[in-house]
Amino acid sequence: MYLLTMSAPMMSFMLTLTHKEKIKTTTMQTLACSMIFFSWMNSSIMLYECMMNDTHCQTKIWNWMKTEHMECKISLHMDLLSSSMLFMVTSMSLFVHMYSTEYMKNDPHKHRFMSYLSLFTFFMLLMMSSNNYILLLMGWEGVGICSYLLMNFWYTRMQANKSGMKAIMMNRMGDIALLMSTMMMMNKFGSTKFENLTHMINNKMQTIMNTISMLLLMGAMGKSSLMGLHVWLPDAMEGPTPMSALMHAATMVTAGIFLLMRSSSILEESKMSLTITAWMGATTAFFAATMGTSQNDMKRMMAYSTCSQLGYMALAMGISKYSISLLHLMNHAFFKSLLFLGAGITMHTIKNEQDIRKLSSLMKQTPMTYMGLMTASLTMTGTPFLTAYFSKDQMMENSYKNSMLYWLATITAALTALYSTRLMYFSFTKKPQYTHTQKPHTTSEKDILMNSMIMMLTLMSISTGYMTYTMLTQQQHPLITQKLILTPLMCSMTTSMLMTTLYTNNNLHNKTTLTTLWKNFNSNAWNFNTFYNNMIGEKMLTLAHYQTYKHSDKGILEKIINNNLTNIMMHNSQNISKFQSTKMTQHLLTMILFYSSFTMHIKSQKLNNSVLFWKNTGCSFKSCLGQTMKHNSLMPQFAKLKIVK
Amino acid sequence: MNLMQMMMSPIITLIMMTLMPKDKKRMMENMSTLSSILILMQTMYLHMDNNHQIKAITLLFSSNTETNNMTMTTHQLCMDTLSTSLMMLTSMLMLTSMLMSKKTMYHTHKKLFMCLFTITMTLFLTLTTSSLMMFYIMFESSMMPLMMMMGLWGSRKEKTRATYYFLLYTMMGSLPLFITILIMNNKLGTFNTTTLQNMEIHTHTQQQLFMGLFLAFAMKTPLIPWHSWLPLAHVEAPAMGSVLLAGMLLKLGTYGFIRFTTPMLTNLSKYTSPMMMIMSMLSMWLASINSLRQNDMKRMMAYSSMAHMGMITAACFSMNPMSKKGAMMLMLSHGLTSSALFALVSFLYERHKSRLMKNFQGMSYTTPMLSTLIMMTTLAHMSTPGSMNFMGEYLCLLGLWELHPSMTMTSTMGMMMSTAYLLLLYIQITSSKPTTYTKYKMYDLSLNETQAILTLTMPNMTLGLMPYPMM
Repeated sequence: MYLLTMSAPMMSFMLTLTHKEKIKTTTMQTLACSMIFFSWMNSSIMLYECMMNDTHCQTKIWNWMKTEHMECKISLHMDLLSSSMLFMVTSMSLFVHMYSTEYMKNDPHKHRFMSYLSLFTFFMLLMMSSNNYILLLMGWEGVGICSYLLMNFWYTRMQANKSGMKAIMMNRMGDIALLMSTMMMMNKFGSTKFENLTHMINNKMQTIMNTISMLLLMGAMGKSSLMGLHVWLPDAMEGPTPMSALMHAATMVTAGIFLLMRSSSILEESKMSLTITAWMGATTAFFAATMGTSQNDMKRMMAYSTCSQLGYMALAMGISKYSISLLHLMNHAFFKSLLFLGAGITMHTIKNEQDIRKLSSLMKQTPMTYMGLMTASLTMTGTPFLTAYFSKDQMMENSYKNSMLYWLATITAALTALYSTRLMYFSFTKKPQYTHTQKPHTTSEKDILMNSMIMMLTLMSISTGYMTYTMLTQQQHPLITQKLILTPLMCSMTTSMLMTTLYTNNNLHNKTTLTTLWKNFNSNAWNFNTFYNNMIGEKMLTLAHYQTYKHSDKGILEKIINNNLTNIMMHNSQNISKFQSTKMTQHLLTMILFYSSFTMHIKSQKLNNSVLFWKNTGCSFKSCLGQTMKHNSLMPQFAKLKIVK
Repeated sequence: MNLMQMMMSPIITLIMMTLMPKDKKRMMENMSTLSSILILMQTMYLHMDNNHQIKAITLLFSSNTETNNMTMTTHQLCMDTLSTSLMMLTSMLMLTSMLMSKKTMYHTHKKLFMCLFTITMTLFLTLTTSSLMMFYIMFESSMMPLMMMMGLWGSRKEKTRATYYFLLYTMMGSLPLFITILIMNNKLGTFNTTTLQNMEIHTHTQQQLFMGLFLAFAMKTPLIPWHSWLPLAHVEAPAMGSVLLAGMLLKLGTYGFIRFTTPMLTNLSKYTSPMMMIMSMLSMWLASINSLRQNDMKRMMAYSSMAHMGMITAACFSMNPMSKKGAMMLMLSHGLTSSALFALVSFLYERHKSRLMKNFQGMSYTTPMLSTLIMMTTLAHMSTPGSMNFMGEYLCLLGLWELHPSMTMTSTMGMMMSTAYLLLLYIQITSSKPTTYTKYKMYDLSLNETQAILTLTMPNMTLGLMPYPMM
């Protein structure tokens, strides 16, 4: 059954890719959806088994690497973490598959899109259910490549190519860190299996644990776009919207968080990396929230909000509350994909316009989407008893021990409220400004499939937190005062109220000064991109051209070796050709020379005295050479020739 | 006996080829492809058989040799998994070049096929001999058909210079090798490698021998100061020539390191391993940085293959079994992927008569099959997990980690750069809108060409997932 879950998406990928011409598009789409549905069924059964009946299970498929020292098998591992992730991934991919059958209706490359989505699901499942780090790495890289393929789906656009390149490079950094960490594990413990590692770890090897966990954190940074390697995520929005709903909101970006959860036993051993993770999470959350407030592109804003939510997850990990982090991950998947899918519908209604400044009063055009997006943003801000409340609020409470982190998280919550109200106000409730230029499509919200997806996700984002709350986590309320529990909530509420009042008031003076200041503050995305471009990329390319290629390779090495080689060869060959002139005397001389040396050699052999032989021959050589030189110099014809030249 | 049969089949085809009249081109093509398929099957059978009986050595032609101390029976031709896997690689490359030749070559087919089969023959002999003298002769003569290919089918006038450099560099390296082989015979009394490995060579003599045994292979690999012949040769060689050069002839250098240098001069190669490490790391870094800014696709690929060979040499000299196994796998996988990339570039050249990267745009619109194959091979080449390159590279890096972690750190940066330049290549060629230039001849790969590429990529993928035939 475990294998069936994995193989169904792979099957759909193979079928849709290879039988492009033979299968009709509608049958292809139903086939892909049914395959994913099948694997969703399987995974829900698995979730039941692992959650209710508390089973652990491992199945070996085949041997992979095997040398004298190391052994690595391709085998699957099922427990609470992986089964819940599997359930989440399959349900999200089911939603997105069904959504994209409608969304990509007018695209000529539907086959390709569906096949990539299926492949992505396969790799994701492989990563979630892997047994050891190397197999996890396979799924990890595969997911990255699928994301590149989908990001670059409309490959004729230059911006898409750029973003794809960026994403792959940034991901590769993380991948290499993960690779190094697996190598270190293999070297120190002789295995990369999760189970073995948990048993083998002990407190004594502090530095090793520190380095391993730091490398793992680096890997997580690359994939789930924590601060530093986050630059690819906002640019990844160049791809089609369903794809960004699936990957850059729900599943792929949470892979890093999943990795950290998987290696919780390692992280627990080093306090240093835990604090670094927590700080990384808090700063990422704060930074991404500030960026989210000043974005005008709808999808980029959502991307930054994803980034900040991932920061929250990392923060929860840092204060070693893994189950809360997992809960937040699950919840986040639902409400964030709802946001993206809703954004997709709104974009379709208004001729693919993503700039929120150009949108207005979509509430009347798309009431269903408005409802969905409203629920999602309310959930995101942490309104009580919606899904994110159960995870986010608990996280805040638990982080009170490190008060600085707590305050950062609270500010971030306020900022979250700010940008979500901004989005909602601008695109849905604001009075129409450009009614004549931007006329909305008439065909809006007519697809039953898309609407039902939105409905389903809305219901999910209201209820999942409540349902999974008791299953995934134990009661983990720390002892803090009641005021502090309410502060994040109060903060977010007040900011959203403030924003709405500011926007509805027509007093523009105060507003513009504030916003311009704020926008100037984070106009360049905290200069991460400029740093990477100017400091690393451009320097590297100039180095490649001028230093290594022009100077060393074409300059020094060619001059020293190649030119010298050719010169020596030419020179020597000229000398040899000089030696073979038409003069009879010269030839005679060489003959004499040869014979004399030969006789000397025989003589010396008889005497068995090699030293004497060499001396003699040397002498004879010298005398002969002297004679030839004289002879050459005496030649009148030769001299004439030289003059003529 | 299997080995004997396998040796016979290229010889028989060679003889038949010489007897055939010039104008029967079609028949010659069919015969050569058939025989190359046959050779491939034979080598695969041989490898499986060899792998099945663990580490058993199959032998052929035994003779008596006398050393200074004793007389013993030794064998002239023998093989183990290393040589059989490389032989398999050779026959795969042969099959692809046969399939490629139907489109990319325009004249004198008879000579071409003869060249190819002589190369196969010499490579088979190089990989199976246990006599050092024989190895030297075959090592040198494997260069000759390639030079002929470069001279006859090369496209530009620069080809004479390229062949000249190719010849000079290999000569510069291999003459010391010849002298060291003679010294070895003089001092130890035998050419046989297995006996030489078991002998304890005095450290002073080891020092004398090392230069010769190192230089020839370092020129062939090529390591950093002696590499300038490679890009030239690759650029000037015809499609098949560069496929063979990248696929097999560069591997002879590292094969020499694994087979002769490290086991014979164990102490000295352990002593010099830091120097070798630095050299190979330098060549890896410089080559991969160089290939970031190349215009010519073939030149870029040449530099990239140089970088990967640097990794392999580092693994060879790290002197532990794991990385040695990794080096073996990486040799095989790199032979598969880089030659596939060269073949793909030659297909591009054949369509548009240009190898400059900036001329190509939006090929995934015009030739989708070609671009997907480029995608697959580049992904394998940058060692994505699941391909065989990853397996080899992982084992190599693991071995290097045991030596020192910093070695792994530096070589992973090489991996990073390989991703960068390969992605640049892929994106430049396939993405963006197709121009009028790329739209000019819009035909996708034919069946023959796809087969030619798939013979290289499919084994790579399958062996990456199920590597136990190689382990």
